[in-house]
Amino acid sequence: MKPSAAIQSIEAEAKRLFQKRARPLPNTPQMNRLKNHVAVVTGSSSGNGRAIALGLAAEGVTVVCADLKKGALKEGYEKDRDFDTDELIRKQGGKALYLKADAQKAADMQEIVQRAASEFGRLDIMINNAGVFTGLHTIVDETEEQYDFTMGINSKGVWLGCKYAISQMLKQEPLSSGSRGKIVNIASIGGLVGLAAEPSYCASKGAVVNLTRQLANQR
Amino acid sequence: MRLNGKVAIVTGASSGFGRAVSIAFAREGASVAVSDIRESPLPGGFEDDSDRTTVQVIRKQGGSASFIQCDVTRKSEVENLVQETVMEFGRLDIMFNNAGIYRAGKLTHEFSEEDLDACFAVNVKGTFFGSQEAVKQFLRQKNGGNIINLVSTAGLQGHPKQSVYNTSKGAQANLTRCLAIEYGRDKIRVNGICPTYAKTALTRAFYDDKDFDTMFVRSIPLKRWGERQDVADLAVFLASDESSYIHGVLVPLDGGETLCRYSVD
Repeated sequence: MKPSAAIQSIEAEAKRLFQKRARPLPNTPQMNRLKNHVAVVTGSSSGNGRAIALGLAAEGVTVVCADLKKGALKEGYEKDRDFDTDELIRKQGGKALYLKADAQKAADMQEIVQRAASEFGRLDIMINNAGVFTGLHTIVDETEEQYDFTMGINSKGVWLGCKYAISQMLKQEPLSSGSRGKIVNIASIGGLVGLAAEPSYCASKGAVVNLTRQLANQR
Repeated sequence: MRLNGKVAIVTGASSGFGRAVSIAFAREGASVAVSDIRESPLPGGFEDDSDRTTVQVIRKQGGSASFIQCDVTRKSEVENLVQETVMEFGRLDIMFNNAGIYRAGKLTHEFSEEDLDACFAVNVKGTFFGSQEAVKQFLRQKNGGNIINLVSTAGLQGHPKQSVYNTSKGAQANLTRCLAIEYGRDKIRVNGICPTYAKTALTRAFYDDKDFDTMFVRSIPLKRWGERQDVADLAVFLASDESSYIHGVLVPLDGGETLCRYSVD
């Protein structure tokens, strides 16, 4: 669509005036919006979990980084993947602790929450991010082992993370904002719609979506 | 400052959500075209500075704002609103379609045609015109844009005795999705905010009704009314680059109202 000559000249004049009077203001990045908060991030070594852990740390959060392996997956896109997430946070002046944990094991999930509380006093933010994907296949070709693995990490892992985080959050005093804690579950569009050739993945993420709704309503 | 150098239009900006959003946008560095049919806030609202206009509040805080009168039910006035904004501030980056009215208290067969028309004129046509004119300006600028529609949980589900309102909000919700599909390629992001009852002049009668207040708060998992600041905070996020991959969603801002049939105390 082509504006009329009149509109074009008005816009050019307006742009000139705007540039003349615009006062450039310092564009400071957001910092310390979550100062003194303590978070647990599962699956924190690579990808989304790593970005979340780094993002939280940049806002002032002390982060318990939990993953099966401390190092980032080599297939990832991070330019700094030679550094582990917790190292990177400390290098940038933040506070972080790495704990080895398997999200489908109750004892491991209980341990990371308890360590957050014992080392740093409380747990304000639980990010249930750890997830797996075993590749594209129809339900005919998908194996029972693939189903169990996917459901174990993606669904049971989130359930365990919520269970132990909520137990801790109910025990601790609320922050001055009144918040006792916040839980963020990483689901997927696979939890909202049916994706082709990902049967157990979609089932596992659908479980995360509705567990999230249930917990939001009732402890 | 998350909206530094941006130019925003907010309709229905003299009171309630629109006022809170305008003030928040300005605080984050945006120049705001404050638009409404009246310049002073509606009586019965919850603002503690209701003796001042939105523009006065923003300017006192050192922000940049101008009042541009506009009845969003008239296409020519919405065209004029966008043109005047561009004249004043040089461009348009954010269109916040907030102006809305509420009709309630009757069953569907009891509502008049006027009730239906009024809801559609402001809530649907107003948002439609606002989106049309903003999109035209965004396309001329060739640099993307951002549209935020103030919908309601009434656009996501049914409620008793306000069918004309819910019908209009449902239309707004689906307009939001259509716009997102059509203009994503032009880097124009479009999203909707869906508050439940919040403390504004529009809901004053409900807030003052103790029986309603008790029933309502019990039904909300977070156990409180919505606040104007809740809407302002979400609006800033959706208007900023922090939400740059969020597109075509209708965000419930409802303390959990829409996720359950009942809440447990």
